[in-house]
Amino acid sequence: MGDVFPQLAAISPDDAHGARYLLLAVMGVVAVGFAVAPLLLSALVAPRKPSEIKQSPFECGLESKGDAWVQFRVQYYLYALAFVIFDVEVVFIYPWAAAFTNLSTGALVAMGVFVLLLAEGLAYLWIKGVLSWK
Amino acid sequence: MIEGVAFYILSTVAVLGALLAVSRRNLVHGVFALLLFFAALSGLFVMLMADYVAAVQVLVYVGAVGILQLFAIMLTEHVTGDDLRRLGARGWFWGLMLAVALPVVLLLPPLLNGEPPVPPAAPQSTARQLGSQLMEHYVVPLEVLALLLTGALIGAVAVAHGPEKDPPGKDRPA
Amino acid sequence: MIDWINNAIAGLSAQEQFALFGLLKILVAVFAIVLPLVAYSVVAERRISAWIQDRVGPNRVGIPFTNVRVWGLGQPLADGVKVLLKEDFTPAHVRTAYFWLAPMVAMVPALLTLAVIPFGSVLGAQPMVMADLNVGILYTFGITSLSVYGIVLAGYASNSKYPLLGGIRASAQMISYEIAMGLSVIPVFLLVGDLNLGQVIAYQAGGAWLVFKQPLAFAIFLIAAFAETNRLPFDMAESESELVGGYHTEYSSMKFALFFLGEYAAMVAVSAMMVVLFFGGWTLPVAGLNQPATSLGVGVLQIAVFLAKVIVLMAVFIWVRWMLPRFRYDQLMQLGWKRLVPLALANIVATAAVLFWQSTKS
Repeated sequence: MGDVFPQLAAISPDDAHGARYLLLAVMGVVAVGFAVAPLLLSALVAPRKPSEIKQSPFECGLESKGDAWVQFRVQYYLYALAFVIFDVEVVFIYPWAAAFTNLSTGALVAMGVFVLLLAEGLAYLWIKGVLSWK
Repeated sequence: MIEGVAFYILSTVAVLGALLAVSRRNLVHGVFALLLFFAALSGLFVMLMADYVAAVQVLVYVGAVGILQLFAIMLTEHVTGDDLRRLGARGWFWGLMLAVALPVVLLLPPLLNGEPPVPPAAPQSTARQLGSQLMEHYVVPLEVLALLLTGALIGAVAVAHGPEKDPPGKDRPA
Repeated sequence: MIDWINNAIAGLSAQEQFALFGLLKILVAVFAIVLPLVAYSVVAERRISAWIQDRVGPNRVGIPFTNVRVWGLGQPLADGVKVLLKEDFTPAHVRTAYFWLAPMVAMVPALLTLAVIPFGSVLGAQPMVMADLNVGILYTFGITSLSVYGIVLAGYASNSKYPLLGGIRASAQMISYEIAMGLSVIPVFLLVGDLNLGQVIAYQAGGAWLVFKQPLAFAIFLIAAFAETNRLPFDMAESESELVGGYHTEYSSMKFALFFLGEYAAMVAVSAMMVVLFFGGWTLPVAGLNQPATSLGVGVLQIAVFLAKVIVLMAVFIWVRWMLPRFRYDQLMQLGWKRLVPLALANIVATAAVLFWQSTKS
């Protein structure tokens, strides 16, 4: 396209790092605006006729009893726990994967051990029955 | 100029988020304030040219740790901790000690060397360099870390699982 | 026209041009590409489901104030106006601030994910990606993981039983499949040797698409993508037969619409990710489209190629939704942790071993 628009210039790589993240921040602002604008618009134009029925919690045939906040099963927490641990390990595998093409045999073995430990954690969870929903 | 503005905005958000996180009585509010702090910290990492760490900050802290905390809160019955024990706790003392000790430890090496740290140049391919560094110089720490994580997983599951429970006839939690 | 543009940009420095075109890219991508794509994917969903179920589907709405029907293509406009004019009632028992925040949190991450997706090669000196980050893929996973909060917040803010249950179920599901998703793409980066998404496309331009080299990785990613976007067969978040509407039971009007559109925006985002990772992005191995564009026409054509691939994948999402029944929750968790995660780990080890064997042989 340089033939059509000879004046177009590329930005120098020194400025690029900050500029990319600046554009990311702009994108964030646009995205938030994209979500907020319709809500505000609807708050302005939508009719408002509150009534007692509309303000009550949703029920399906029967009124729901007691507080909405109940104690949840410990299983959800265990999933979240496993999620955090695996997330951290994934974060260490990514740079290895990116650099794999010029790494030595030792690196392969080292990451093999790392993945093996990861798999052992998973196997432990499996045997303990944490992974099966009861 | 823009860097300066960004730095002050991010720092303000980080400090405010951290303050809110420790001062809110409602734990759920506290978690979301903490997430704000994590997000601002990620922005500060970007300003330090540590792209990978910034992305990890978002992925692990904002994404995963926050969810874990919310799930942990959902295990408890009372989210609005009006507990008197909390007021009497001595957490503030150790917090203050840590807050003083951390900058000292971080700033000591450059102060002893007598020269300020050099601002890093823009990275070309952070992840690739990081991978090479990790596999060449830090293999042992990496393996220790894997062991630690696996240990943490096993320990946490053992603690959370507890002894066999669920007496028959009693309603199980949702 | 061209002369006028040339004269106008001649007075700007490289930085000013970057800022101008960066802003232009963002605005065009969000409002001229993503918005219509999301709006029309809703219509496509209804038409395709009607076709699958041998119904007619919405075919009436045409151009407003005329009697011209264009195959029901005016539907998004009518839906938008309707949703805007519906009463937005807030039940008395909700936590108001979070109640407002949740729909926004459901929408924003999907758009932010798109910021690092290269949706074309170049137009002039401007690369067709909003923010070309070195850590592209990690950033997308980080942002994707934020979409869980929209659902958790909605459940917490609604402060009633169905939404709370739907919210916590859906969030446990999403975090489980996030691990499978994160592990599944590692073989891709073993092959490419960089986390930057532009490099992934460049790699595929030089050979076969990664879907052919890593079919298992793609299969795991696709299944995880269904779970991440809460689409059938994994729509535990809603599962209307047991939880009414799940986390958005208490929502109405525009706030509900944001959740609804957020789901489609997430579909666009995850389809775009799959196109970049497995289907060669904007490249096409015919007529020199594999190389970055040297003229305006080719640049635009490559953007069209990218969008066409995204649309095909979104059609797959819609097709699967109307073909498969919902999984049971225990089956869902079992599939995620006991099948997909071990498979993904095995795939990493196998790929690394094969690559290593190849490098020693040569």
